[in-house]
Amino acid sequence: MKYLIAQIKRVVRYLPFALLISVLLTVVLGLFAVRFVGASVDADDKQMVRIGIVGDTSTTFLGFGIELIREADSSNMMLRLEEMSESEAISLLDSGKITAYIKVPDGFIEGVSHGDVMQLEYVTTDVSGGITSVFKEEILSAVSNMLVHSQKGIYAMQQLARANSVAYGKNTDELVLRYFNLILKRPSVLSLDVRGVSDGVDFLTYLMCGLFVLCVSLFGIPYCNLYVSGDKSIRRLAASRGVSVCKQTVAEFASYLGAMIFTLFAIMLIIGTIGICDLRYAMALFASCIPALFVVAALQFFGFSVSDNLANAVIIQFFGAIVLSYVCGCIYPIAFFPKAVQTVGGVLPLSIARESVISAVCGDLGALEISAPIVYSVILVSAAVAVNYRETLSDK
Amino acid sequence: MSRILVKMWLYNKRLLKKPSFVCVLACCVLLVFIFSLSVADDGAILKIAVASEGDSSELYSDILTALERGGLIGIVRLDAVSALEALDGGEVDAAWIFPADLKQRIEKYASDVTEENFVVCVYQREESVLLQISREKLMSALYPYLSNALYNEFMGLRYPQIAASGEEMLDRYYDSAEVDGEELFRVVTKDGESVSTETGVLLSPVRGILAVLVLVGGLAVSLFTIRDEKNGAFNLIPERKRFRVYVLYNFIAVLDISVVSLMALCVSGLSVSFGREIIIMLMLVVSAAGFSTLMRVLLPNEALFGAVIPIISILLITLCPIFINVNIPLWFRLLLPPYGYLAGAYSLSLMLPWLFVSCAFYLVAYAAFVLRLKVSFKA
Repeated sequence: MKYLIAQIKRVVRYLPFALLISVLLTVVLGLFAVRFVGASVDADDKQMVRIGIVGDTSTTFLGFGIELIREADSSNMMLRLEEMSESEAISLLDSGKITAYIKVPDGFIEGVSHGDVMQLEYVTTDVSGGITSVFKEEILSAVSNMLVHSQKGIYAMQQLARANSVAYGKNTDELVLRYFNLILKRPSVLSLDVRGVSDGVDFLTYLMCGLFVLCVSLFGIPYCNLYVSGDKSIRRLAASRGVSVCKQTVAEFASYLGAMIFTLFAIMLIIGTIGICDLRYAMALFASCIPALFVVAALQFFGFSVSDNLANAVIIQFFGAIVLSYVCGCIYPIAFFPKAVQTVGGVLPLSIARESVISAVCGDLGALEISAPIVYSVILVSAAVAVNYRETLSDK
Repeated sequence: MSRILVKMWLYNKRLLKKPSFVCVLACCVLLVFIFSLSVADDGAILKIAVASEGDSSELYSDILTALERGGLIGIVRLDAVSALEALDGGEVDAAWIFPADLKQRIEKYASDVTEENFVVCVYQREESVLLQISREKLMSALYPYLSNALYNEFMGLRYPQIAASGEEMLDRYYDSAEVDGEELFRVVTKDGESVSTETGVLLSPVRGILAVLVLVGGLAVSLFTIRDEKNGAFNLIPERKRFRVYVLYNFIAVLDISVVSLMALCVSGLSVSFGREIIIMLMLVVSAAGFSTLMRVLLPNEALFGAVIPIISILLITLCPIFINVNIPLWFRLLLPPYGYLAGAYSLSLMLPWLFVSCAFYLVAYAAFVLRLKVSFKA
């Protein structure tokens, strides 16, 4: 008991500092989350990608092409197209105000009128290849497909008319208009039936829960100073006074878990007080998230135990948090991953934590969602006891 | 020079004799390798159940092939009833049911573009941006056939004599129409280099995560040296000479992790070219070691430094184009070592400004170190 009190005193001295960092982390990740899932936020400036158009865009066909790109983004959240000069586009690209610009080459229009569609350059600094790149590629590919195939139809008609020596000027205009109509009204080619959410959580809630787990799993880094030391003399001293390695480890974990619970409580209190959500709801959510906190804290604590110096501890905490969060579906939904990764990721600690948080948010926290994280944390703390025991023994 | 190398070797030995450090490095390569193997084939953002109300025609198969291109959609072929059951059970994100008379429906729609003549039934449990984009992909996959049907119908309407020669002849002209630019857009960097888009959405963050790990390794070793200094490990080194110790320590740690990162990139198949990988990784080592040294000099308090690491890590992950691209000014991007590294994989145009910023890290760190010495000397 004395050892536990000593540990609690130790962590309390450190707590304000770690708390401040945890709040800052939450703010940064919160802003990231808003940006990441900004599509669901009803705002005027919700476009994730602002794109410049450089070159002569006065001709009808190209103007139509630009309109087509705008139209192709039926979600109305991905693209905002603005015409500008090349120097302006370069400067805006450098200052991060636009994501890319589309460069229309000279002679593009003449080429189009002869059935020769020249390539347009999409100049970008976005090399992430992440999820926004997939969106961008899909939209650009759809636009390419529509323009190229429309042009094929128009050009084939002109060629046939020419081969048979018949006029085609007026018919070209009519066919172009019909292609425009086909493109602009294309949603009507599908009959859409949205059945309403039948189970599970929506994309936004899922990602928020995932990012919350990522955030909490990074809270361990500031505590590395406190729990990692190459010096085992205090542990040996405590052992010689009758406090077994098991008791020491459990007491240290208890103090750490207490600090984590207090940190989460403070964050939820802040969230409730500043009005991000109702205070009562924030407190209820805090209580429901405690099982998830058990498993995350146990994982971090196990990380402290296996680290033999401060540098390794920080690397292990960071690497563990990021890699496990990614594989456990805390950054991208787990459903994005192939079956093999889903299977492995599904049984890892952060997946258990994420599931527990999702259940807490949905208000259907069952016995499994409470017991699974606790059982997992018992296993991890037992592993930490084993590691500490072995180290203390080897020191002796 | 040889003394520096010996010191570097000794510092390195100190890091590498710790089993956990070696284990993390080994895990890094192993995890990336296993992950790249498992996401190589069947990773997709959305799972769509696709069904045909009739027998699978060649047209239906061609449309499905077009849909499967890119990393957005993973197709699950089912019958209509099973597709709707899979949707209701949450196994798929949407169900697309194609009619038995697909070709006729396409022709009918092309001749009269109205909602009543729709071609494909789309069922979703909810609406989302991802599903909206997936529908754009479906419309795009249908478009070549709609375009061809519209052309045939128009020819029959306006040039009945020519159309009387048969659909085959019309199709021959349509298919032979010399329209270049099957891909209208070429994605390039500012200096005109093509950006590879074949990595896949799941594997693409690996490079960024490894770059951040390299920097975090440098920061972690800085923290380690703060504790070492506090414990008197550097007492034999005069204070004014300790700056080079900080730099060497950081450099060594960052170099170790960068070698492992390079190996991880190679086994994952993400590396662009050997020469470029070496150049940008060396630049990352220089930049990350400089950044860590600067932080170490500016924040000599152990607790403060330890607390700042997660903030820096999360800022790097959010501001560098790892998972998403956030528009921030170029000068600020260059202050983040992993950004220069990620950009360098596709374009070397930023190498010079990045090198300049990296050198500035060392200069500012040294200036701050000298200033701190003077202040402590006066005190």
